[in-house]
Amino acid sequence: MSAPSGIYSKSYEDEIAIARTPIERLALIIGSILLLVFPLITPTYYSVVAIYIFIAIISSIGLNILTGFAGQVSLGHSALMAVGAYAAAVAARYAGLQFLPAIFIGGLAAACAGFVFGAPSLRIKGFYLAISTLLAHYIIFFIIHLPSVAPLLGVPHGFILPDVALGPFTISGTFRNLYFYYIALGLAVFSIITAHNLMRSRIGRAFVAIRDNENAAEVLGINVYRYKLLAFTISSFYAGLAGATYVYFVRVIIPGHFELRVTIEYIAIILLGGLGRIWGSILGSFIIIILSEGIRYITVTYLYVISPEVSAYVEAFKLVIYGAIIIVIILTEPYGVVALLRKVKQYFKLWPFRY
Amino acid sequence: MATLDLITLTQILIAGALTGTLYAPLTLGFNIIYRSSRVVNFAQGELLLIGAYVAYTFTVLVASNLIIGLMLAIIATGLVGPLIERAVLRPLLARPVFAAILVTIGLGISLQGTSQLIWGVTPLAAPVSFPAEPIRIGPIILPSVSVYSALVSTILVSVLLLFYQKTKLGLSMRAAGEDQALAMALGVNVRTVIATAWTISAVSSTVAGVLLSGVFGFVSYYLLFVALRVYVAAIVGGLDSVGGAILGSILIGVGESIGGLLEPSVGPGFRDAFPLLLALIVMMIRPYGLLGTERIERI
Amino acid sequence: MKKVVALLVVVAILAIVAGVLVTQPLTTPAPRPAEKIYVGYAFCLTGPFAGPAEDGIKGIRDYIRIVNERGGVNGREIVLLIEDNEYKPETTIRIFTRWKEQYKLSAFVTCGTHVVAAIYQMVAEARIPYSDTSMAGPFADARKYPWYFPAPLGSYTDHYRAFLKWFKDKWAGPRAPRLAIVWETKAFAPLVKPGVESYAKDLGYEVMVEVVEIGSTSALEQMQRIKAYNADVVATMLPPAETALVLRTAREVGLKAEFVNFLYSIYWEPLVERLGPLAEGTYFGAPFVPWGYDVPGMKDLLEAHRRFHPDDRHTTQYVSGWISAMVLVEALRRAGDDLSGENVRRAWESITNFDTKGLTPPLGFTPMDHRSTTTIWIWKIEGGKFVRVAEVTLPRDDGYLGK
Repeated sequence: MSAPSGIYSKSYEDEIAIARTPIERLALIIGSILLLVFPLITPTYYSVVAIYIFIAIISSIGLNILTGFAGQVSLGHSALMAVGAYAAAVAARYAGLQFLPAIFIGGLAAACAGFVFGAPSLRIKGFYLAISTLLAHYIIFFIIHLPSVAPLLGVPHGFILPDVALGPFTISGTFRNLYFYYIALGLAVFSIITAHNLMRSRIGRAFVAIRDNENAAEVLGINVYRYKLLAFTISSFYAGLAGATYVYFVRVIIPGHFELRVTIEYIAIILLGGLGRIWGSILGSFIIIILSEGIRYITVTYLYVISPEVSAYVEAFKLVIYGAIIIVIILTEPYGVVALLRKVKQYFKLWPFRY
Repeated sequence: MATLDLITLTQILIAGALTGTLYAPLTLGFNIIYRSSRVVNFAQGELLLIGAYVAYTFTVLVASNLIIGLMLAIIATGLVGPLIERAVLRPLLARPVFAAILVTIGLGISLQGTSQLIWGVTPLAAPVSFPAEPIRIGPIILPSVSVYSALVSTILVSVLLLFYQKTKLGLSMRAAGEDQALAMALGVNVRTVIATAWTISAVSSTVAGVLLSGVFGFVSYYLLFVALRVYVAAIVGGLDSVGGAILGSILIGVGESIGGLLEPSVGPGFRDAFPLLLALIVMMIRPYGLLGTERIERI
Repeated sequence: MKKVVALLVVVAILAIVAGVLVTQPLTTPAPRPAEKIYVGYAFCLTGPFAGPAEDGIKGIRDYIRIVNERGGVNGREIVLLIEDNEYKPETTIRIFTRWKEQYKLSAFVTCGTHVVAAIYQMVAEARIPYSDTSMAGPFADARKYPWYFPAPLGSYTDHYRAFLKWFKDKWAGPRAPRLAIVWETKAFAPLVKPGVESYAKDLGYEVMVEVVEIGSTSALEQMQRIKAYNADVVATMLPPAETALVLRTAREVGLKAEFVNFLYSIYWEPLVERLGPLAEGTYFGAPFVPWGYDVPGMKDLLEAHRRFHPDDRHTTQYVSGWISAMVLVEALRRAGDDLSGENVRRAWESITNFDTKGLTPPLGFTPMDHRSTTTIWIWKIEGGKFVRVAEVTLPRDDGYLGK
């Protein structure tokens, strides 16, 4: 009867469990059930938005590992997604690979590219490093558009991917989006769990050490350069995975899916959600995508009350509001929404006391 | 291109360098913000766009005299700096720099919307129409816009250097650029420093907007595409250096020219790719840019 | 406490957003298509082509409005759904998924060549006739893209081909005419340049190719090479800013050649005004008239202008929007009571010799060829005005379908 207060683990297994308290376990179960039945009880459109969120989660986890955990800034994220997507597309089209092996190849190809992207990190730091990845971004797009390469990759007509096939099952037709929802959900969960576990392993600790103080990390016996390259590689694997999944979802791959603005959107996602937290990526993806969809809805539904004529003038409000909301959120909580949630958790933990 | 004669080479180098000065004011604007607060300004392109639109408003709609119009435009955009600092950056002082970076992303989106809201979507007349005839020195052709931009950039940089060297505010800006916390401890008003940095940045973006819209003859959304190379130019020269911004811009311009010269033998698009290769090489040799200061880290 | 209040505010905002999202389809239950026809326009009202799109959408709206006032199509009202696709493929996909579910779309229209490339497959799988403001030749090949109808204004490749044919016919020089193609490799030009290049070579032009990428601020080297080549014709396949840059640089290096430009980069009054003397004397091919041109069909447009927005300024884009709406309505009219995608597409393909009262040459489609016309008008800019200098009819079956 005399259970100690606070969270108390009796075994190592308890200590490292993902859900440690009854409330967390309950939340996990309810959350899982909700996520599983969500596409069955809502219109397809919601599943599609959810798929976008899942893919954004996978990709932003990658960026968060690199920027949030290992402290390396990159502007080449969308180019790495493009590498993954094109590798998967080529593998599927020319080698006839199925969905899972193809996206895995995509991830690996992006990881290799990421290794190269990370090479300058030996000497170059901070925003200078970000620019070197930006250069890599441009160079990858230069290569994609080269007259000798472009026809193979279907640039610019678009390169059509085969249907998603899992073993003998081919996913197409009416329920394509429904099935794809579960696939994307599965991949997102896979990414979250692997990233979560990786980040509390030796590797993750090393990343954090490098982020916090490179020289100190070096002194502690961490091979800084090797771990930086590892961070780039792991991060790019997720990017490639996300890029490949995305093009499988939209069926067609064009370079336009992976413009620089996509990288900036992902940076916004992880900064808004919270750096160095897997939850940050999840929340950030959710907020940014719901926001952009929601604001378009509000524009169409309410703003045109004033002027029924559809016009570029009214649409401009959308951009203003979107940017303003991002600013307001970050001014409220400069450490990202994750930090805010932690405070709320704290508040309820102490309730009814203030502190 | 049969043979590369001396005249062609001179032409390419000079014209390239002059084109490079077109990017200089914008790069300068970017560098100054980075230098004062370590914030990577993702809204630089939008500042350029807004600057060009504001200059249009004052030169074409408000004042009939070009010089007065430009002066008014510069004053108007100069007010934007303190406004941005007070509204969105001051709450983030002494907060993680990443928060301020996200703010610039949000700011960029908002400013883009604002420009569409105020100035609409039809291309507007460039605030200054530069002479159509190029300036010829013997066989060498120099587009008049870039000659003007070289002039303007030189003036801009001289004024800035004087400001940094001779005024108290300039001194505190340099101090804040070295070490913000230390500068604060020594009584430097970092708020003023950041507001000034944004003011200078907005003003020089306006100058850039006037020059760059002169290249095309109109102001519209496309200026955002042009602005992308500012990051590369800033890096090549060194992020925390005024001279570096100019040097980087000129190098990018020359790189583009040389790339354009080599295009027939290398491949289409080399004009855009060559400056990037150049930048990579520079970064390999000097990771802090050509004129950037190397920071010695202590544990 | 302050933080918690702030959190509540953020949660409230998100809840409102989510609430709007959730309740939207519930509060407006998808009206069944018994009495209405739904047409979706995911248009680029923000982004680089917002200007042309805004006037284009006015033309479309006005025409549909008039049709509805006169009793609609076969007694059915046309409902226009318009949303901003931000010129992004991913946004277009989300809009399309939602509409597809909420309404029984009879046609879907977007704006941007890259959008077509990205979402054609998705729309085709939904079996909905799909149109776009883009007229890239490869997508006009109905054998490969059966559900896609380019804007009913010919094809980009044909615009250039018509000019090259006309120019070659009146060419009297002692040598073969020389053509310089200036294109970009990242946007629409890769879908235009190969067809134009091979056609020019077929006609006996000598051809050279230069690239000016989007975002360039100088094109000096390229123009000097073109000058050294002694080009007689320069065909630019570039967006507006780069076209302006090329025209300016050509003047600076003293290049004397005829310019044939990209329709959307020059055939728009605000642009011609901005370009001023630079645009003078340049050509382009386009099978439709500008705003205010004296043809019988223009009367309806002027009337709509007077009634709906007398203060607005209209442009060629308004005319092109109007024409595309005319064709769409004609397809819907022919489809009769069966408004399924298959039937609308079949009806669309059955249009032949569609008379726009002089706004365009007679328009027509076939199940194989979705180019609306291969009769192209050559326009020249004189005194800031568009002057029609020639009409060129290209054979439909000369092997350039899909190029």
